Amino acid sequence: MHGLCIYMSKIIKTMIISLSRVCLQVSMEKHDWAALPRDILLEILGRLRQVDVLRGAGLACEPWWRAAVEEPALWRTIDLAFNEEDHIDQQAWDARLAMARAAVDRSAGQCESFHGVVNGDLLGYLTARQYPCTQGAVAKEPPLDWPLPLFHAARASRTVLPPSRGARRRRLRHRRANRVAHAVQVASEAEGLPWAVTAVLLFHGTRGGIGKVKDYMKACWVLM
Amino acid sequence: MASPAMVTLISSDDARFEVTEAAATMSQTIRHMIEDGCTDGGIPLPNVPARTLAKVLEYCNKHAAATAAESSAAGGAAAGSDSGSSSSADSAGKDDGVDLASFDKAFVEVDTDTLYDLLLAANYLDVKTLLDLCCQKVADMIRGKTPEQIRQTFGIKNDFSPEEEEKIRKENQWAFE
Repeated sequence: MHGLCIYMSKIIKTMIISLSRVCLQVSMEKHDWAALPRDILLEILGRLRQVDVLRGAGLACEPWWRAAVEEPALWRTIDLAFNEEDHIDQQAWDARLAMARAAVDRSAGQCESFHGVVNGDLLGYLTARQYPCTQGAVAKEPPLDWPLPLFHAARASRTVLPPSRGARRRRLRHRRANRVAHAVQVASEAEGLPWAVTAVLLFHGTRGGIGKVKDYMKACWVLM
Repeated sequence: MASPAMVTLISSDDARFEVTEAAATMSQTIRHMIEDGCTDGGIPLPNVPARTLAKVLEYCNKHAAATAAESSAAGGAAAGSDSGSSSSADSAGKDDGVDLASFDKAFVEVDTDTLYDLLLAANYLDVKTLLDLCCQKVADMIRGKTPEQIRQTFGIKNDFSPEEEEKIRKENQWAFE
């Protein structure tokens, strides 16, 4: 019995080795990064800032494009906020808004949190894309571990405000952003938003006071 | 002290490597093979050529040794025996932390072909920390680059058809500004 086991295992080993020779010639000899196995590629893409996936790695070649577009898991947590290295101007601002739409599309309704710049249009889009897969019952009882929206003044001024001229104007915007941020936090807590809107609602070019924000959040809630 | 258990690994091109079981079992794939008792006459690793296996084992040996040093240092400190030897083991353990980080950093300073082989080998052998290290290295190489720069770095061909490229360009205009 023991002898048979050894014999069998030897046969299997030989089979594996000869089989692998064939695989090896295909996979190891040429180093085709475009043909990198999908699971490894996703590990790599998952370590990038999503901005770099959207405008860099995801456009390098067709297989990488597919991986970046077809895997909702990559977009479950969307973070397109500006960081310290980013140059912020109107164009960059608008690009982020457009990227956010693409990211939300790619999340295929699985987005659990969003952090980044938004305007009224984008928030409507986020909501509209999100609710088809969110059952009413789920929406009313969000899981306990959903992070509450968190806002910091410093972060708000950096990541959320469109560029503006002059320190005084900036301070004003800064203050308004904080007010708006606070309102979003209050409203989303009160309304129990089904997913964490870690973004500050800023009505581009309009005066979005607290009341307006609350109304807007309520409108979103009704939609859900 | 008993000499550590050794196992023999056989690369795809039939090179044999004798390593400690501690180093070999950093690979979950090999760990399972050992658990299943498939070690008779060496463990065949049909997907890993000698050159890559040598490199992976360099990593495993280093990390297994560091883990052993760390646990013996912790054991020495807990027992509180022989102050002289335990303090030296302790400082060795601390050095290893710094040492290991710089080892890892230097380890992935390789050409893209080697990095590619390491990625596939770490994935196949299921050495989680090595796979993480390699993926992070690739991510660092991609960060902040345009698609064209990424193609150049990794020798990737732009394989979009003109129609596809046009379509993507239209749908993702923000990426090309």
